[in-house]
Amino acid sequence: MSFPEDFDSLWDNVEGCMEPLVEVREKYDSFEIYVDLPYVKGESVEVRFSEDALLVMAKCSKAIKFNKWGFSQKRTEYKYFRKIIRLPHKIDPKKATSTFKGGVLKIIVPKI
Amino acid sequence: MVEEYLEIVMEKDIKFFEPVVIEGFPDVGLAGAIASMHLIESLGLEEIAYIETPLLPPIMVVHNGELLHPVRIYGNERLIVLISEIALPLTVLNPLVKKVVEWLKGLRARMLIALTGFPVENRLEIEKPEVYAVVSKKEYAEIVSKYKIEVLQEGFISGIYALFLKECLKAGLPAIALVAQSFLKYPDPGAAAELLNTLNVLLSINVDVKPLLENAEEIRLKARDLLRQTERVTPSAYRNVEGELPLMYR
Repeated sequence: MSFPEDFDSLWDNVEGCMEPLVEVREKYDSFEIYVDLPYVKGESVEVRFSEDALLVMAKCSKAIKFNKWGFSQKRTEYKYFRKIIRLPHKIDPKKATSTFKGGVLKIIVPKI
Repeated sequence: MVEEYLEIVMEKDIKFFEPVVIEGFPDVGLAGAIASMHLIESLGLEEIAYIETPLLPPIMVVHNGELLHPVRIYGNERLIVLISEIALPLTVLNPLVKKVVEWLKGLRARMLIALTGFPVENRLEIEKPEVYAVVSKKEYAEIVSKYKIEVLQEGFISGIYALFLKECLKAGLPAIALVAQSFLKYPDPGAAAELLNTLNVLLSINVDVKPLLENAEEIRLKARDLLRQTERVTPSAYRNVEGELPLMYR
């Protein structure tokens, strides 16, 4: 399975989608991946794996709208997060674990 | 001198009385920036000046229909708060800090307090981030210790607050940095709240941090772009130096 190219902005005003901030820490035999997901509850997070990437998707607990912001943004309701995280090594998704605390998703996935 | 290309433009005529200066320019986890903006809101401080320079990118900010400069100064006779809504490029840091410290010296500022964060790997597991102090002169350590704030004894510091401490030392202006445990890659309102709790004690003020914590999700969302900008202009070589041990450690 492979994922398409990611978009560059943190805000997709057409789809109402946000790109989350991500931190990837490479360890000796695994990756620790942290994804910042404000306005998200743990049960609405979905993670899909390819052999060297992850796709994180999460629905917000409410639609987010900034009524005064920007030219096109003020007409947009942001409803979910989506991010493709590419890794520099192949990974073993079957052994991946995750936790969700304070709106931050933590994924540990071993390298192959 | 590059500083000649920087100007602090006063918008209000204020007779300062030995003001305390809070520096909250964007840095690690935006802890200082978030804390400073909340401080301005809570105390109802007015914009008193802005920084004009061709060294900054051609960006202006619009708030409530009003055009504003991105690097602004808020305050009153006794308190000054420095903020920026854009990441400050590396090339502007030195001249900006020199110019601001020279200006503060002219105002007879009493003290500069920089608010910032330092990244900790296990931040996710920390409920209440600890706040440490870095002082520009050893004698200020005693003052800070009275308030039970631990003072950094050995290590490197980097970023704009390191420059402020250096320039304040040169100018003879007392300076302290309050540094909270923080996320590196996400905005950290929790760290900002602890900085303000410490500032409350140091300055005998009463800034309520509850709104900051209650609106943490909204702040995290709104601060994402500034955090990403800050990350882009901050070379990793100096971002990581704070975790390293100096050679003369003994």
